[in-house]
Amino acid sequence: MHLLVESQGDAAGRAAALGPHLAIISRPGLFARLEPRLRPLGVPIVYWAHDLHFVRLGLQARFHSRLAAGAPQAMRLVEAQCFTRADLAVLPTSDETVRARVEFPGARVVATPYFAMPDQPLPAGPPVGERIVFVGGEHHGPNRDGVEWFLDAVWPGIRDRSPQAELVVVGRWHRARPWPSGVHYSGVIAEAELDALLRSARVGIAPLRFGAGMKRKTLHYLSHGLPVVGTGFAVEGLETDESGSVAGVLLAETVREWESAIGSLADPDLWMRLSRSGHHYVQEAFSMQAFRHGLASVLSEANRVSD
Amino acid sequence: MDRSTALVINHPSVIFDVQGDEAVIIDLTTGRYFRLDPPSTALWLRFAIPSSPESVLESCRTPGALRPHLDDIVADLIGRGLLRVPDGTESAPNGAAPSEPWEFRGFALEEFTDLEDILGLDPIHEVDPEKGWPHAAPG
Repeated sequence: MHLLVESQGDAAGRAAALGPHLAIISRPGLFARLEPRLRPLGVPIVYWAHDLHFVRLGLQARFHSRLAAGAPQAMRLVEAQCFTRADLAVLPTSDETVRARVEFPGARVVATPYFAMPDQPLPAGPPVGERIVFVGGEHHGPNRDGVEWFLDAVWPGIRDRSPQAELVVVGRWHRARPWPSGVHYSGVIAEAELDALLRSARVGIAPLRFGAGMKRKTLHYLSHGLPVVGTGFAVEGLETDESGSVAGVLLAETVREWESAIGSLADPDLWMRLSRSGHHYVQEAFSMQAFRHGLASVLSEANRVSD
Repeated sequence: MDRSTALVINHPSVIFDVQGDEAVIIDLTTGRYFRLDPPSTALWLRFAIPSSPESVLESCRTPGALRPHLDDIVADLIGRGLLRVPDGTESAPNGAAPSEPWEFRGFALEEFTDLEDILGLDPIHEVDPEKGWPHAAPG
């Protein structure tokens, strides 16, 4: 398997020179640019979709007027090209797969888990302190909106109730941004440092008010046995039980629900229950074995449909 | 440019769709997209198949209104990379190439740049050719 990056130039030429048996292209813009140039190779071409971007943009437009009204329509046009021209399109969630089949008739779309989370030890108990963690950069619209909303609407109440509470924001953000009291910006940190940070935290947050697709940050928190407080968008594509709950996650939408959910994790019994159930779920559903099995199925299907 | 030179929509770099009678055009190389109102869409569609500006003028019911603007419009579309000279590989995108006479009622191209990040290079995770994707950058 060879990985080609478009920014290094002439991706199509370099791909052709490799004599591939199959090409997988991720990202809608890249697919739309590259697919016509790879088609003459006569190999199956798979669109590895991150999510349905036009759905995300449609939701984003509700909160941000700076996004032009035509953006979702334009994005849908590009994605229609990707889904319908690919020999096989892949999405990480079943819900989006169904939606894509409806939106783009004739497209062959399958779902498979995208994430293989490394095994992490289960915490022996809640950590000392009231550290909250957010992982994600501001260049992704839902992250920027979510953190800004959280800091504006939820954080003051958290600090009023627990002056010792601290929030660590990990990822690429403008360092000069005026972070409120109690908020620490770590920047981008190495994997080992991030693992240690997640083990030291009491809760991982995902205050996403819009979005699409499965959220790696949620799985990342859960893989460390770190309970999550998040919106419905934070758990898209994850398995729910009969009550609509996701293992290891407390769902919260309103400010009051956010304050209540974060406050409730001071209870060590609840914390341990969520920690264990989330950790177990990710180990079972998002193991390397599950990922490999899904990938093998995709490759087999891609070869089958192109015959 | 000579008005007799055929021009065509710059497919596959440029794709478009018409909903109702308004067009959305996307330049996949820049991530910029454009909206055209119905009168502008009517002119745009003339170039869905290779057409010279002269032939576009001939198909227009109101050539007197179009003639003073046509060169500027065509030059603008070429300058933005939305039209090009045919290279023999063209097919009519969306099968949308009207042949009936049409009426020139103005042309306005509205440009948007808010999808450049998404349609450009990977906006979320940085990919390392050696380490694969995803991976965390060193601190």
